[in-house]
Amino acid sequence: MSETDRRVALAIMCLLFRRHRKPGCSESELREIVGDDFKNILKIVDSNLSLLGLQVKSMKSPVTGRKYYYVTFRRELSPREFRLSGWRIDDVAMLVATIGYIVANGGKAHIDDVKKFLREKFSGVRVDMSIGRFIREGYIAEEENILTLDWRTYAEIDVDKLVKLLVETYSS
Amino acid sequence: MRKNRIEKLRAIIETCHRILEGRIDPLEISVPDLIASLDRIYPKLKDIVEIELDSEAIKEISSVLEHQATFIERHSRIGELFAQIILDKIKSLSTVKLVEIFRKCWKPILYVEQIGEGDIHRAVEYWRTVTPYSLKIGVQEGAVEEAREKLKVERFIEKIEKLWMELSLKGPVPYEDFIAGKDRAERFERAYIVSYLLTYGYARVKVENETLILEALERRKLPVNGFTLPIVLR
Repeated sequence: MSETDRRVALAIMCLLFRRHRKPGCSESELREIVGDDFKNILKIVDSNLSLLGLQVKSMKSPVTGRKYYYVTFRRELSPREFRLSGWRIDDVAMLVATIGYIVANGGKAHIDDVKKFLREKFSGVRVDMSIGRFIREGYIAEEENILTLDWRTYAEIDVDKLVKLLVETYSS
Repeated sequence: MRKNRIEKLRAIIETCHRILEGRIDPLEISVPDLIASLDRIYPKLKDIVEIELDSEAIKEISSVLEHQATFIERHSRIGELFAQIILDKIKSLSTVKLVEIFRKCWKPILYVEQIGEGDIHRAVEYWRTVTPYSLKIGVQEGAVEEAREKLKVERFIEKIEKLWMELSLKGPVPYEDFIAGKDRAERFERAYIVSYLLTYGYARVKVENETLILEALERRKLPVNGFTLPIVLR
C-alpha cells in the first residue's frame, strides 16, 4: 500500500467513523490525522466515492465557524432507495413542514407556534415526539423555546430547492 | 486638487444616478460612506462650481435614501406574501407530496456507528451500578411469577369475561384508571387481562386528548390462534 493509499484510507475512516456527537470530521482533525495537504487527499477520496454514488461535502458551522467534512449521497435518492431509509412518512412530512414554517418566519419560530401549525395537519402525540427527534438528530435547534434550522438540515437538505418545490408543487 | 474634488463629487452623483435608474442594487451602496466622503470634501470647497456639485450630491443621496426605503418596503411585502404561500402550500399538500419534495432535496450523511473500548467500559460500569428491576418497580422478587401462577389456578377465561363485564358497565374509561388496582400486583394482573381483551377484540383503545381511553366492544368468539399485545407498566 502506497503512502497516498494509506492516507486516503485514513481520510475515509475519519469521514465515516462517528467519533463525536456529530458525524464527519473537522478541518483541523483532518489536517492533524491526514496531513497538511488533506484537501488533495479528499479529492482522491471524492473521486473514489463517486463510483459508489457518494461524495465528500463540506459545511461551515454557523455557530463555531469551523469547517466540517462528511460523506453524503451524490444524487437525489430514487423512491425505492428512499423507502430503504427507514423514515416514517409522517415524520418526513413533519420535518418538511417544520423547515418550511421556520424559513417562512425568517429563520426562527417559537416551538409552540410550530407545534400548533403541525397539529393542524398531523396527530398531536406524534408532533411532540417528532419535534423532539428532529432536535436530537440535529435537524432543528432549540434555544429558549425558539426553533432554528440546525447543522444537519444545512448538511443534508437543499433548503432553497425545498422551498422552491413547496411553492411550485400543486396540491391536486 | 480642485480637479480631484470635482471628480469625486461627480463620481458620487453618478453613483446615485445609477442607483435611481436601477442599474445598481440600491442596497449595494452604503449611504453613510457617501456622506462621509462629502464630509471630507466639504471643508476644502473653494468656488461656486464645487459648492453647487456638493449640493447636488446631497440632493441625490437623499433621493437614494428614499429609493432604498421604498425598495425595502416593497421587498418585505413580497417576503410576507412568499411566506404565506409557503405556509398555505404546506397545509394544502398531502403527506405523500411533502415526502416527495423532501426526497428530491435530501442527500443523507453516511457514517458508521461503532463501539469503542471506552463504550464497553461505560456499559460494564453502568451494569454494575444499575438498580435491579425488582427494586426499581417496588415488586418483591418472584411476585410476577406468583401472579402468573395465580392466573393459572383460577379460570383465566372467567377473569377475562368478568373484566369485560366491568368495562362494559363503566363505559369508556382512561386505561390507566381502569387497570389501577389496590396494589402493584393487582394492577399488573388487570393490565395483563386487558391485553387479552384487546387481542380478542372484546375492547379497544383510542387516544383522546393524549390519553389512552379503553372501551368495551361486543363480545366475539375467542380465536384459537391469537397474538398478544405488549403491555407497559410505569
